[in-house]
Amino acid sequence: MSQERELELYFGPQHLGMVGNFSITLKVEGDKILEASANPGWLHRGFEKLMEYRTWIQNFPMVCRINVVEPDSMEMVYAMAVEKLAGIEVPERANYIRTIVLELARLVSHLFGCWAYANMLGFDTVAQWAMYHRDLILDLFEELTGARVYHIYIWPGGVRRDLPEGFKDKVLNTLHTIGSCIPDYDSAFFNNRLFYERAKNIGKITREEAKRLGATGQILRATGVKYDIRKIEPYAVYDRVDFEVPTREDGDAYSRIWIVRDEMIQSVHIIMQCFEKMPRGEVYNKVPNPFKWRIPEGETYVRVESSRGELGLYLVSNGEDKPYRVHFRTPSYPHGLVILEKLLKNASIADVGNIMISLYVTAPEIDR
Amino acid sequence: MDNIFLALLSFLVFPGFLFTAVVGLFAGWIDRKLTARIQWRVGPPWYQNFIDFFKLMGKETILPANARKMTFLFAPFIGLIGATLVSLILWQMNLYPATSFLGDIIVVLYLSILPSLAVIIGGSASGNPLASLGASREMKLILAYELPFIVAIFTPVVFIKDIRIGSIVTYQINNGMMFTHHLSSLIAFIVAFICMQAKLTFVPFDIPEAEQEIMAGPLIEYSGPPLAIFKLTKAMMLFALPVFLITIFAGGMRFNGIQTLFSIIKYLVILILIVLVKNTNPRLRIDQALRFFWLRMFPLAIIGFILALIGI
Repeated sequence: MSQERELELYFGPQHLGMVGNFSITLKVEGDKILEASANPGWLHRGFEKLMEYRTWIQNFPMVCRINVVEPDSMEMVYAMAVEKLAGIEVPERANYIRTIVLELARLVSHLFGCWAYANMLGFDTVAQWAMYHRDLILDLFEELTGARVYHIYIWPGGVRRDLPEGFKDKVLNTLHTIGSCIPDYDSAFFNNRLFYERAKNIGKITREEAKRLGATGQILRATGVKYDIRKIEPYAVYDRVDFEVPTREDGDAYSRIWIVRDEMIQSVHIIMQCFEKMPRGEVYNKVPNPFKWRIPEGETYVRVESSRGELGLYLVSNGEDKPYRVHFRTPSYPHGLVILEKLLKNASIADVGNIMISLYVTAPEIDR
Repeated sequence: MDNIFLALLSFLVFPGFLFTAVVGLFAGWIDRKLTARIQWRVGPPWYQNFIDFFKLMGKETILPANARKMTFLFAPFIGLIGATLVSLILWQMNLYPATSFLGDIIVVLYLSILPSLAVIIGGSASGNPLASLGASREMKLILAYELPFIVAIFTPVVFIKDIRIGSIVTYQINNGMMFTHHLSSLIAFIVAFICMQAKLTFVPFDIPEAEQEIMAGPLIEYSGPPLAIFKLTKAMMLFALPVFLITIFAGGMRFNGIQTLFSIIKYLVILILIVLVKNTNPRLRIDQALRFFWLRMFPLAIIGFILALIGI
């Protein structure tokens, strides 16, 4: 009897609630989910293998396309790995510019996350606001790098070019515009009673489980662990700027979205400090001719804090002009497969998208 | 012969189908434009809803292979007839209160369920699992909001001790609006307003049609003219239900002198309130909606009802 009551539902890839080419197959009984299996394979492009056939510099247009939402942390982690293998120093000013770009990218990604979450709950007003503010920052990126989403701005040895004239004022203006809307966001979204009802105690995960299943980023910080690569293993100039790592205790969807909100405010503080402390000088240390650039034999593992969690890169060189092996440790892999499937069990159908978005699953980076 | 012609005319043109449809689609534009302004967008031009409707009328109707075809195709018309009749009776009673008959308020209450019922029937007949999920959600939602809604609508009836819409309107013409003069009616008005939000399946109660969860639910398999009819029915209800509330609680719609302007303003205020609630809240889950209506709205409606019995 119970066999006949089971129903197989497909959440994605053709689903209005799905962001990106990702699908979850649900086995449901009534409104309760018995089993969920995630399939990220719709977006497999074989980037890690492709990168073994291209020179060190040619890989940049590849590496940023692994993650659509926040490409800059991808560029950063690859540039850091190449610099570490080749032994290139980065000028001080370039480090500050890198930090500014990374934090702006974090803002873009978090605003995109707010859009996705609000949109998922049918709350289009806040979704449209967040999208509008994201667009303002994309305009800044367009001026700085010439591109809106895939910038290819961070480079081995520094950044491609110096900040344009008057860029600082434009950034501060935009940040001021967004910052002045924080009370609106708070009263409409983060403190909304119905949103609280919807997100509280949804997708709850304990601290031990989060650690065991490899959670990082907001998911781990929402359980009360102060885990942030920017503090543990500072890169760029994160050891020279002052910022907090927001944490919460409950480990549910509501805590995660509040951490996103608090992190956005911290990002703004970091950007302000970087502009104040930034020295003058070069932004680029010359690298050898890219077509003949051979990097000495060796292997390295570097990691950065992306907007969704710990992003790592294992890079091996065998002395050739191309990488020997590239492997990314992307935060969405444990979040989108292991933790998502676990949290969806016994949830209701109405909460599938809710839980998925609160875990910040970015489909393209799961199956590179 | 003349009488039949007049009755047909009033059903099809004014104040029946055509009038309600045109004003409803226009109200739909106000909803869209206001929503766009709240969301910092520009919004569509005033004729957008009309061309949307005619575009859908010209599209192909796709029948799903495992649908019950007759039920699937006729369900939209059940809803359309229900919405038309609701509007027709309400306007008749508003314009000519003397023609009111005993128990017409019950007739309107029952007919106003027809559009939701049509969605359930059509969704269940389409043979899509997501549509049946949406239909079951719609059923639960009707169970949730219908009880407080009926209690709230009957509060003025108990107060006046007459079950005719016409006499409620006449009473208000003589004694002023119900909800500003009597506490019981104010409470009932608030309850009825929130129930109306659910009746229109607007956020936070758009649970049966949640796009991001079950992809428009019962309407998922509909295309072309049947979908256009469903959209039209929804637009007509956006006009008819606020008029129902105005008739019962806010003095009715009158069209002599300055009262004309006043009637239009009353409708616009309620419409704007609906749109504001719709745009400042996320969607609830069905169990939360059920709990909200039964544990919060129903006791509130009962309090209003008891106050009306006492005569406050």
